[in-house]
Amino acid sequence: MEQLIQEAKKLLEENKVDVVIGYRSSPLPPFTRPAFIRRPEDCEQLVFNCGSVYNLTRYLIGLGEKPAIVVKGCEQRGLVVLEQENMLPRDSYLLIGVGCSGQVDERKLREGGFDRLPEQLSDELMADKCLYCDQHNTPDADIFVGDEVESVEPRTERYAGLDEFFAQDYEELYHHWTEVFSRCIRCYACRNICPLCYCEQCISYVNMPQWLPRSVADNNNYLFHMRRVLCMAGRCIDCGECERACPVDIPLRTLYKRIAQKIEGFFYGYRAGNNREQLPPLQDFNKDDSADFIL
Amino acid sequence: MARIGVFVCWCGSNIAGTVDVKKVAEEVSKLPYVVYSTDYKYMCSDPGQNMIKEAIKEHRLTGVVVSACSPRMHEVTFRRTVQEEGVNPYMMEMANIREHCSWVHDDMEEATEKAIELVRMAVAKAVELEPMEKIEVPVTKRALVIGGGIAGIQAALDIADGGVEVILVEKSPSIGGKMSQLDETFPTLDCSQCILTPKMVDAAQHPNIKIYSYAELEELDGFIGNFQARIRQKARSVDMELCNGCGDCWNKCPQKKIPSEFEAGMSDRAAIYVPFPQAIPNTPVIDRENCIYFQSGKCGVCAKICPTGAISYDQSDEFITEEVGAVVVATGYDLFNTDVIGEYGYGEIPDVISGLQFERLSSASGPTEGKIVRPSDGKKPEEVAFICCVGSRDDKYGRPYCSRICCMYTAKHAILLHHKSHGSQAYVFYIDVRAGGKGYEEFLRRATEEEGAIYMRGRVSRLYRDNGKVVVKGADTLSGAQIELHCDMVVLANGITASPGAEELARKLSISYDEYGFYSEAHPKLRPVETNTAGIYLAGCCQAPKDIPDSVSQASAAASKVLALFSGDFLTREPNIAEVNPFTCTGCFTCREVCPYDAIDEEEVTVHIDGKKVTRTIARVNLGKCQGCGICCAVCRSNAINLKGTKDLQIFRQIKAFTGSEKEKSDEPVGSKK
Repeated sequence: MEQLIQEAKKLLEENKVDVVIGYRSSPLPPFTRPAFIRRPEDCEQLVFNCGSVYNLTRYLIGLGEKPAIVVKGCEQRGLVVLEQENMLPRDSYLLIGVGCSGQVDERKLREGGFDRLPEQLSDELMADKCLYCDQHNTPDADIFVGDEVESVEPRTERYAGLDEFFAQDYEELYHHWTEVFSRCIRCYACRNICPLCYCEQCISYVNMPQWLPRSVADNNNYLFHMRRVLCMAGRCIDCGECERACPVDIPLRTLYKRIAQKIEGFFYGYRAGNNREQLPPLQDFNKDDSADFIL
Repeated sequence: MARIGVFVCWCGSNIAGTVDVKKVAEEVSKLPYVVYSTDYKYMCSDPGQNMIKEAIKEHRLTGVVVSACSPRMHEVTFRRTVQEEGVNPYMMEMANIREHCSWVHDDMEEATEKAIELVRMAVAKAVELEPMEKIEVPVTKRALVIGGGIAGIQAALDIADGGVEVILVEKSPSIGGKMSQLDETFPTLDCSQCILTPKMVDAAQHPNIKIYSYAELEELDGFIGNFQARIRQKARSVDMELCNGCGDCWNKCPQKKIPSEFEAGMSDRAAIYVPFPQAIPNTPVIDRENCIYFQSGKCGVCAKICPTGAISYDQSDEFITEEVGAVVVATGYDLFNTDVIGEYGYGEIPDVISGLQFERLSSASGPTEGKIVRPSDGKKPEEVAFICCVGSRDDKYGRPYCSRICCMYTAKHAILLHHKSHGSQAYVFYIDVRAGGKGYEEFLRRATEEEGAIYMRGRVSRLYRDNGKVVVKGADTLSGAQIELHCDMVVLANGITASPGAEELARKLSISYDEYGFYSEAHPKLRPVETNTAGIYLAGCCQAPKDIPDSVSQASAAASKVLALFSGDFLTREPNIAEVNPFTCTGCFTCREVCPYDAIDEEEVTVHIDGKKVTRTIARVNLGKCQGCGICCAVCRSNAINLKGTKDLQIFRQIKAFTGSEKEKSDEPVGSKK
């Protein structure tokens, strides 16, 4: 990652940015941790590898400094959504693009009994989202560092298994999810880590009136998560951070991917963050729009 | 601490017949915050209203719940009542126990229970009501009239006579509309042109009227009192300033084989033309699709011979933006296309013509100079059949409605035939004859009794050509006889359809239309000239089929609405509009994207985020534009927009009052600030 270090140094030395947000090594390789580099001499710490799992774009809103930021291909879509929602103008940050051939899944690593990563990151240890990745290299980058990664055939389908799963009848699904959500401790990690959750005051905190009761009870948890699904409709970029951060292993991506799949079907193949010019479905109206989903 | 008074109305026996009003008043008196409750026979009457006033004084009420009819009926009345006693009018809430309860239920016990629930919900909301003030917005005192037919001209003249500037937009090259094509008009047989053209001239010369002919509305922005109309002035290819209307160009134009729209295809016009001699403005346009110069680049005859050099081939469409405060839509109608009725052979049999074509044949200024002749051979038709309800009252063609003019214009045609083609016999096939207007029945009887028209009740099943004649096959349903008539000419009384493009225009104006494309009035009886979009009014056939007197009446009515709107310098609006919470708005502007009224503006605020001062751009609601539809509230992820008068908290309290447990229902609302 020599090029990354050199470019970061240059940016700081030339005062083009105040801070470079990237990854640095951690005591638990292959995982890395977020790095906020403000001095050129600290740039040596910067790394990028298959353990650079964090979506750093979460830090951008309200940062108050001019940053350069290392962003993986999948995460760049979140920046597009933030720009469409007027939260983050494109010129407020410098985008350092990288080629990424897949990120390790901590859970799989743990369950697989590996202490350490094998030489080559295998599909078995790769995060689900990487198996069907179609954006290995960060698009729209101001500076691209390292080599571009050749695109690989997807190993799984993006929405594999969802139709079958959600074909169960309503009672069964309700029962299933109530049970899953009963694990939820309402730590809000899923929301706090989401790059697209930027509300000053989340509706789950609103108490005049209190639409979502805050105590940890099955019904309340169900409401909270379903409400979050609606929040993510047409916006989730499937970076997978919520599921990674969840301390009780709630399969949140199943829900968010399902709503994304529905939206893709209803609104002309719309995928959040794919195209800056295409208005998000919630903001757009076309008289030929599908109305099948309206009850 | 809120002090609520509840007033339960009997509405005579309307409510009291099904709902035990005494019990309702008694039960709701136990609710929290209710300090007084009573019932009375007619709350809306003077004594009823005085009861409310007295109670406000005596019990120091801060809010009032009137449990009576629909707020559509008396909300304004009771708001005024509480205001007269010094309580903010928006501190009054109505519980509709008539339309929503007594009128739709029979069982007294159940209805009473439901009425109690409805009042309980209204009380819960009333506790959370907030005082509001009406909104004042300035008015642009100029009107836009779309459509230059008789309705549009009349509306423009009436508004202009009221001292208000009018922008009249007409899409064809001349104003005048369909009426200019008619011969004589029922029931008085005065010549259409003779009564219309003076009005056209009046409109053209009126100092307050500005006419854009050959122009269309491109876009309408804004709101009542403050619209911005973007008008597309289509390229005439003729300079209106230079042209003196001498007519050399259309006389010399080598392309003369274009069926004239004005003559309903009964004669041809040139590629450069004025639609008819009395056209206003009397400036020709070049029909680019049929002009040799525009199609092949060769010709240019008109430019060569024009004495004033007015021909301008390189003219292009121009866009003009006009500020107006009100809009009158008078876009008229189109005639039902008879081509689709295969069995009548229109278009194939030359002697089967439309009603409008008969008008042109009969008109002294028409292609035959008023001589009624057969189109096929120019001979006098001895026997002429008239078929009514062609494309009207016919489910087969998706038009179950009556076109309202065809019965009368067919009677007129029969009379005109008798007058102008001596000895010719008119046969009229009808379903029912509708002659409801003033002097119409007498006119009809004149046709049958004095002018010799023979009326037969029945539909015509088929028309075909035989030996130079048109054979009319049908039935006389009164005598039950099958009829086969050999006629020289057949006139189809085609009905009225919405004008082409009516739906597109409706979308530009944000007004609604019915399944046939006619624009919807705000109320079919009591608000027949208003649309549901404030500041936009209807006149003439764009709303529904009607004849000339009705169109003119509606145009004058629309004009009076516009003048009333412009009578003050400000418009007052109800304050039930959206409101942004500047502390929670994130500035994502999803609300702006979905707002149908363009009512979301930007506002800069300085806030503190994590101890840092940050200047952010957030949403602000434009008081003049917001219509209070609430779409913004629905899409706001951070719940930062609320609709005043139906705020989340107010609705939430109502839901809780209805769905909560008995304990919750009677408990003091949790966290209430009252």
